[in-house]
Amino acid sequence: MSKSKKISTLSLKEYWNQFSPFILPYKNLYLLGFLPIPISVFCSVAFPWLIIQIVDEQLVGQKWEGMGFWLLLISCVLVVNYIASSSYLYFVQKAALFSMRDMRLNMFDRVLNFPRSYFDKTPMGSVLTRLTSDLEAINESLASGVLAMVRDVLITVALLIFLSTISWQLTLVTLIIAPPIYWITTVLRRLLHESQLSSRRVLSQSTGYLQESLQGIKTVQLYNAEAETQKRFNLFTLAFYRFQSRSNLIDAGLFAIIEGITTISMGLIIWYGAHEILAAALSVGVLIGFIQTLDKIFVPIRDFTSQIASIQRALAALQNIQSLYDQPLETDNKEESLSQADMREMESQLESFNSLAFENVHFRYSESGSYVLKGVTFSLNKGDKIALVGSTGSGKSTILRLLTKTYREYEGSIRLNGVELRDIPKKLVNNFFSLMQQEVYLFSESIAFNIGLQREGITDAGIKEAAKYVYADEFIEKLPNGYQFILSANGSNLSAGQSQLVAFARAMASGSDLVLLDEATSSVDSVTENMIQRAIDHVFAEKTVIAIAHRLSTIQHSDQIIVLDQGEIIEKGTHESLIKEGGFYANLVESADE
Amino acid sequence: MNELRLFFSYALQHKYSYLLGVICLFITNLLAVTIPVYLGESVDLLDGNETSDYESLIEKIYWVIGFAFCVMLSRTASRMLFFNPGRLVEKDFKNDAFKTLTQSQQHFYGKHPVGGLISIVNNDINGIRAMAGVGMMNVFNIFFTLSMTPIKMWQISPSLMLYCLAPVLVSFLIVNYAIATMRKLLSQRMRYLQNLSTQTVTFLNGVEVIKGNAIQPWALAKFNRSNDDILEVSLKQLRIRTFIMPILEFTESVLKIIILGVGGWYLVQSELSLGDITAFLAYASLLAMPFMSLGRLISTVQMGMVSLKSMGRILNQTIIDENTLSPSEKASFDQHMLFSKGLSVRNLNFAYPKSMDGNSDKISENNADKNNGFALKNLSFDIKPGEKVAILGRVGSGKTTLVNCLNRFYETPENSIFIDGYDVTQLSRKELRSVIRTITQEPFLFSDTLENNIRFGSEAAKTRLTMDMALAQSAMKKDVKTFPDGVQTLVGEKGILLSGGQKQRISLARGLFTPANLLVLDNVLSAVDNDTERFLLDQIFNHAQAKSCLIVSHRQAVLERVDNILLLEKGEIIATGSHEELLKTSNLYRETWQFLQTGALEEEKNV
Repeated sequence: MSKSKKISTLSLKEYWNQFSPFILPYKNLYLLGFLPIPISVFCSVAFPWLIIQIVDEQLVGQKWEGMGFWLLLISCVLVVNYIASSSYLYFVQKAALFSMRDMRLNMFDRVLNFPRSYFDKTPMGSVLTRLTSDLEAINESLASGVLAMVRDVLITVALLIFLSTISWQLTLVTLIIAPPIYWITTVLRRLLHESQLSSRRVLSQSTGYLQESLQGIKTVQLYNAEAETQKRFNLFTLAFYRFQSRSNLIDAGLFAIIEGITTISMGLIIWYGAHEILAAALSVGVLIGFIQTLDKIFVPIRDFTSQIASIQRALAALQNIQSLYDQPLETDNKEESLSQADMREMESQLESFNSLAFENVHFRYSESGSYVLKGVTFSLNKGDKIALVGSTGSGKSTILRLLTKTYREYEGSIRLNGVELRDIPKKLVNNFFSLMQQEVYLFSESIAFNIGLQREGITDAGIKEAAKYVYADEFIEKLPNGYQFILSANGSNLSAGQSQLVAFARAMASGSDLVLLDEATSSVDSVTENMIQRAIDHVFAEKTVIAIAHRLSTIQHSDQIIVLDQGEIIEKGTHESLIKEGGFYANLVESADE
Repeated sequence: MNELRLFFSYALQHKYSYLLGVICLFITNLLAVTIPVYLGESVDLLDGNETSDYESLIEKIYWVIGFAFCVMLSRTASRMLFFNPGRLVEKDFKNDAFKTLTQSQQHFYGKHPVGGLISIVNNDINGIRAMAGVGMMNVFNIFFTLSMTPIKMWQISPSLMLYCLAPVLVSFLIVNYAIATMRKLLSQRMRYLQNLSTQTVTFLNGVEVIKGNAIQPWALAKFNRSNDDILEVSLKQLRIRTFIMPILEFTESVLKIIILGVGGWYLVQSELSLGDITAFLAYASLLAMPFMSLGRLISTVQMGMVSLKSMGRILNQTIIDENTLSPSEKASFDQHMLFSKGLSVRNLNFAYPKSMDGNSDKISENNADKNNGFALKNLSFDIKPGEKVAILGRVGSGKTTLVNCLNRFYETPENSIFIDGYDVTQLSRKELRSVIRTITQEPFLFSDTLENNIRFGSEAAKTRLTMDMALAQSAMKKDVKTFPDGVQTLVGEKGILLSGGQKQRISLARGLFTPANLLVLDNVLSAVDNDTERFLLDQIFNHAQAKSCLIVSHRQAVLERVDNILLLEKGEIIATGSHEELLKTSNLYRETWQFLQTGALEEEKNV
């Protein structure tokens, strides 16, 4: 622990503030874990002392009387030490496991509330790494290094103090060995680290090449390039082999040198001790005790550097995790600042849909990017059906994303029932719309769940009603287990059309009057086409709709068609009036008719 | 046992290294057990308290130090001599696996997803290496230590040795059982962690739906269940790790107590000296060590066997790519003159194998159902040397399937496709593909320089273009000038961002770089503009070294200029002829043609 403090002194307090909520609930467990340390340290010192006593008091004099007492005592010390040191490791790690569980849950909770822009710029893999590998690294470090190191360092220090009280000269002889051991291991470990880094780099290159070659296997084979790629791959494995055997040499040397030095120092102790014993300044017991204690001192010194490395990995992981906490949440400042009365008033204002008005709305996805909406103005009232038409990148999807508050930093004014959108908490906005997205996302749960999503106030009857509304019940009833039919990954055990209908039913289940429809462009078979068309017709007959439309029939059913091009509205009107105008829309329809 | 045979076929290539290693290990262990004898004798000399022995004491100490140095050397050498072949075995396995993979055919990749194969070459290899390195070493090390240490102890005091052996055996059994349990828990934990990852990925994919419908609590609860699973199994592991694993370590101390007690009793009886006890104390740690390694050895071998089994899935394929022409045919066969008479397809029928996964499934679904399982039905046509032929058809009509039959990317049926009268299934794929050059629909670029991407596959080729020509013919010259490092610019995943059209043109340059007799372009020009398209067609038709050309395309420029057009519908050729002929004879062609002239819509669908 003392080490970890040194490395991150600067932000230690911040770290504590950040992570103490996960530690404090288990403070009793942590305390219980740290209590046995002094006992364990005491026993570790008592054990060699008792060996010395037994040798000197009993064995040297070939006396058996009283031996029973010493043996009982030393056995007790051993058992107590076992219990104490195991309890220390157990309780501290147990507490840490609980802390990490809470942390993981908390991190995931945060991630779920990150704004869309976070996911735009962060690959999913890195979020996953935070939640799994990084926490694993901390767990690993606790299990294999840090805790044992803390104990070992304390024991080594205690042993050295103890040894120097019986014979400071002998301790000095022992200690002379320590610095070279530490120096040699540090140097060797650094070399080892370097060569391991190199081999890891080569390995990741070769993995990349392997992956690419397999993904492009068709290209490889059609170009008769098998031998060529093999040659290249063999270069990678050869380089990897070279670095690895270098690592092996260093590793083997490290292992052997520690063993050898320990033996040599035994010789040194006997050599020096012999003088003293012969001069009657030292007992044989002390000598044996020293020899027995040697590896207890050297092993921690040997392991020290590797444990430091494991701690560094854990700290790096902690820093990565910290970055998740630096990312601001999608919290609505408005939501927090809104008084309860205001909130209630807003809720009543937004109870049902009356009107929506876009006024000179500008928007861009990033501050340096170019505008994707340039002064969009339109409005609709209850019962209206509006179709947004335009090519990819014209800005029609952006309009829906602004409405759902997926993105927020718009310029201009968007008013819902007269209330400015940016003042409305996202939660209220969500209840206001039914959103039917182009990309269908289904959970690996039952159909009923996928429609209802366990949202407030949606009953089983409501789920069936929603399914009926979009004519999805016909196929659902025919599935094994009906509404309890479990979907596999993203609905892969349904047809494309069926998946869309389930998503459609989900949108309808919330029962709101305003439907945002992002029609799928992907070509579907005629059966599906029919199913979806019927559902859309039903919705158009009864609800207020803003549709990003691709089907001519959808467009024709709209009261107003808004044609967008590069973020601007270039035409507006009904199907008939726009055809008459003979502009962009008329062209589009003509070419589709062919 | 197949696994072991596979293993030893690689490991025994390094038998001399292993043999030397065994000798070094023997020396190491012999020295290691001799040192305590000298320690014991020096303590006895001290205990004797006689000044005259000082000289021999010093001598003993010199011996101890000398031995220590020898142990250092022989220990290092023995480890190297075992670990090195381990690494060599790893290298050989990897190279061979890669070789097999580059030659494996489509049906293999249909059964084994690429991710799993990469994991075998990357992860399972570790198990094999451990078996060939540390595993092999431990076999001998354990054998030597387990025989030598007890013998030395036996020589000093048989009964005391037995007293020492008993607790070691007991704790070995306990710890070994614990290791087995740990391993189970470990794989369980990996599984739970995998679950959590999968779940997280699912939730993150649907994060908009989760946020939009405010069902975070549900997602959190689900996540927490997996999280708790991990905690639970971690706690089980923790209990074993903290309370059972240290038993072996504490056994050493137990031995010391036994040696002091029992040995002390013998000392009082004058059956043992103080030096004997010191030596025994030193042996105590030597005795416990091999048992620890034995537990590790067992798990190394177990993991190694699992890894070998996975590796066997790659290596045990039989890959034959040989020319199987009859001797008489072989006599007249000339690889370099192949395609002198051209290609003929006769009654080609093709159905996708049932087990095939991936993309092909969708295609087969589309037409196979309507076509009694056949994706291509009774196709017959010819391509003479010098002829340009186009294939036209809707999505799913079998265009790409046909292309993949011609180059034998799929298992082409026998007696259906002939080059110069030779059945293509009797030619080796290598021979066939040096004649037919396919440029695929989705361009695949490696993370490498532009030049290497274009040169790709040309190493063994007899003739090739200059880089300049290849760039010129694929209309890439202008683009290359704008790249930061010209043709040395990195492209692909880590390189510069290329447009779809640029990728297609680089892929075209690669195809043109090594001239082939039949150039097959599968919808290659879909992302280039009309002017560039006309330029490229000019290059391909007039300047390319290819004798013949087969183009899958629905572009007017192509259809107008080819000698022959095959109109494909549901896996069958429903009309063939030149553009003018088809306009007269085929209604469908006429409709399609009119549609192409007006419709940007078709373009959109195909992009």
